[in-house]
Amino acid sequence: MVFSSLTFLLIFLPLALASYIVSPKRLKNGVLLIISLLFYAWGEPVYVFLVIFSGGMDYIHGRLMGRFDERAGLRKLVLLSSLVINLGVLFFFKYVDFIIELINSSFQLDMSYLELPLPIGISFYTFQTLSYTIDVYQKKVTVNHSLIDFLMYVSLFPQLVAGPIVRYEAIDDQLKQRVVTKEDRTDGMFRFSYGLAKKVLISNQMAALYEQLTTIEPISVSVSVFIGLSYGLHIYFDFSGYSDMAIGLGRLFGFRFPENFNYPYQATSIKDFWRRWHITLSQWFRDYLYIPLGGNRVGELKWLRNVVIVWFLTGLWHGASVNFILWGLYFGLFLIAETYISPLVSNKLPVTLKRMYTLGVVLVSWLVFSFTDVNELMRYIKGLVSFDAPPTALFYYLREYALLLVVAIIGSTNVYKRIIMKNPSRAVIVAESLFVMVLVVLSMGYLVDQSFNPFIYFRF
Amino acid sequence: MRRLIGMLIIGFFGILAMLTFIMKDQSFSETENRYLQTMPDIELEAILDGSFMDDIETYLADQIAGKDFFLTLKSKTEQALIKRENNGVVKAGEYLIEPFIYQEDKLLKNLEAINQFYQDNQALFDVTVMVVPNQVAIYEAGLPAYLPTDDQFNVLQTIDERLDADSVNVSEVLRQHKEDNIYYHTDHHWTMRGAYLAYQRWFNEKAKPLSDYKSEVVSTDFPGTRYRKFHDLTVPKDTIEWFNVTDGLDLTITYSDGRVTDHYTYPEYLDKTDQYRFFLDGNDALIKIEVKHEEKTNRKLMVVKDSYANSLVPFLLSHYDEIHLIDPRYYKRSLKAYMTTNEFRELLILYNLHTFNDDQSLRHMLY
Repeated sequence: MVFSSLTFLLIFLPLALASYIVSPKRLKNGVLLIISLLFYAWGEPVYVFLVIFSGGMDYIHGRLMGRFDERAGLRKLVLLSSLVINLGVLFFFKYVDFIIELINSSFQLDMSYLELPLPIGISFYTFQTLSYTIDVYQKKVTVNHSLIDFLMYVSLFPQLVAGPIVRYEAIDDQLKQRVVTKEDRTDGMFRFSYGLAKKVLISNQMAALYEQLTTIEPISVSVSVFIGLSYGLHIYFDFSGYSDMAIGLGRLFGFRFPENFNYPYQATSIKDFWRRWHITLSQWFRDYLYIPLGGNRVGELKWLRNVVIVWFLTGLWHGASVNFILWGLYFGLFLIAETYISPLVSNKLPVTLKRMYTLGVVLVSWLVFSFTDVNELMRYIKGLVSFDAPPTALFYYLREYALLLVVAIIGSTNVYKRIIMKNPSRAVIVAESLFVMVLVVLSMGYLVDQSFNPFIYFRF
Repeated sequence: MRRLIGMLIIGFFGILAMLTFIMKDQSFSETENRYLQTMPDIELEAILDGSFMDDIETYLADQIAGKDFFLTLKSKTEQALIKRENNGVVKAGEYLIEPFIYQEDKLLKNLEAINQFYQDNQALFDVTVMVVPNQVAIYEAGLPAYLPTDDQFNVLQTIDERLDADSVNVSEVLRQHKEDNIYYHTDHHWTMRGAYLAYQRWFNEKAKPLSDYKSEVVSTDFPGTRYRKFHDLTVPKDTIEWFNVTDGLDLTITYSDGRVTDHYTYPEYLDKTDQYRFFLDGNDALIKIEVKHEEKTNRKLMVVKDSYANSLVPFLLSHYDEIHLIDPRYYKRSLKAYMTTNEFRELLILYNLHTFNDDQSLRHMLY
């Protein structure tokens, strides 16, 4: 199920909240587990067993490591087994067809594909459960002895299908003990509503603009730039809107999830961008891959190797397709460049210039990200250096979406938040509350019209 | 205040759901002219393949309490965002219009099929083709600047040039009379006035003058197909005018389900939404019209057509003893076989350009 659906908003959410509130304290985790499994099963009636299997395996692995507390060798073996199982399942469902395709096209073979649909959210929950076994192995967290609590953590519906990637250590205490205050409920509902509006009112429209712009021929620099821009706004509002909804929902049930986005389009370097974009993913790769590989505390060549590995895999995580790998490596390249060419990130440079550099790099990256067909992608990359006059159709679409583009661009900065925070007077609170209510009703209007409402994480 | 609104939001969702479930389901929507999703049955198979879940989502969207409010709200919001397009429809002056995207491949295939049919059967049939431009071409001046839409007149020119069979080019005459209510404002069809001009263009001096017929406004509240997509209640509804061509004619109309009637028009649709069905009860695979003239004309006409024909055919009734209408979207057999068996010589292929540009069924019957 997705949050931006009528089924979720009208039926699932009210029922889930009500049943959670009325259930007695000691049963709350069990109830939340059932709610979460129902949520997942609604979209994946078969693969829900995969989530249970995955969670069950990691629970057992955790217990085993607890049992073998003193025997380092065995513990290592258990960790290895967990890594193999988790990554094996991920590899099997997500990457096998991709590998077959690569082999087929390189060697002119005709091996048949598995053609399995990708279980929604598999990349998210695999990374979550991995964080548990790795942390238990490193004794950063204690073993969880309650199967229900642990399964609830794995399947927790707010962040199950599209993040944030909530590490076990971030939520360990909350699994056992949490209270939901009135503030939690109110703030959670507000946060959820903002996320819903971001997704339904802005992201979906930007996606529609993107679709329309890709029909324009011939492709010249103006077309490519606005395609990158519309996709960048679409994915930001989609993804951060989803994270907002997840974080808001989490609070309704007493959880505090980590933030996932921090106004990434205000970043002043690519390094800064990745501290602000999909924060929980970049932190995961940093802590469980980059640092274990030695990070930057190794020789130059090894460091370069580490960067390449991390960004290759970051790209690949987003989907089993060549363009995602290119997308990851593209960022790796700029991160390396920022280390060697220090003026790029120098303090002497005006912030505006640094932001423009960052936005330019990111904008082009969205072209790479959005076109899974590499030939198609190359046409738009070539378009970037073709300086013909803009086709008139572009004017039409830009005029059509002018106001929405302005709203989206301003909305991707922290201007709104600064206004609300700076002046918490009664008038502002009333205005904000009414505004949120209006956003929710408007979102309903767009959902009822069943206009364009894509789900973009099916590849992740 | 915040707390109150927070509770209001969740309450809003819950109450909306309750109202939707309490209210009686509608199975058909007059405004949208389509069947609606009713509460799906719970079946294991449908749950396992996910169709049950999809149906629930469609059910909620179709049956939700306050649906009209939400749809108008969306349309108004789009307008407030200075967007001129809603669900693919733009407002150009007084007309609701859909842009035209030329599908060269499909259209040329249709032309080829007609040419082939014409060449194969030259000795047997007289073929006439009429492709009618749409509002987007005629009222081009009112369109939003730079709207991505292809030039229909160019395409019609191509059709004229490439066609081996006779073609009736109605572009010019329609363009000249664009102020004369020749198209509906909110529907994708032409009016009988528009159809008359095309008939006149085809029959020249043999055409009867329009003033011979008594005109009657049969509806003033016709919400056209684009009205329903655009969903802006401030747009005025359309008027349907009927020229009483059939007055005094003895008609026998047989539909493909065997139904036989003696009237061309169906006033019962005029208090519904899909009022264009006033003409000949809408589209059917095969409709046979027999006209008993005092003096036999000894002419029969075969018409292969889309719904534009329903406004034109009335004018043809006085010229023929029999007119058979085939809609290839529903009729799946050989046209040649039908025409030979039933001894037809004259064939009119009549389409509006939107359909001709997109249609894949016509060429499958031309073998």
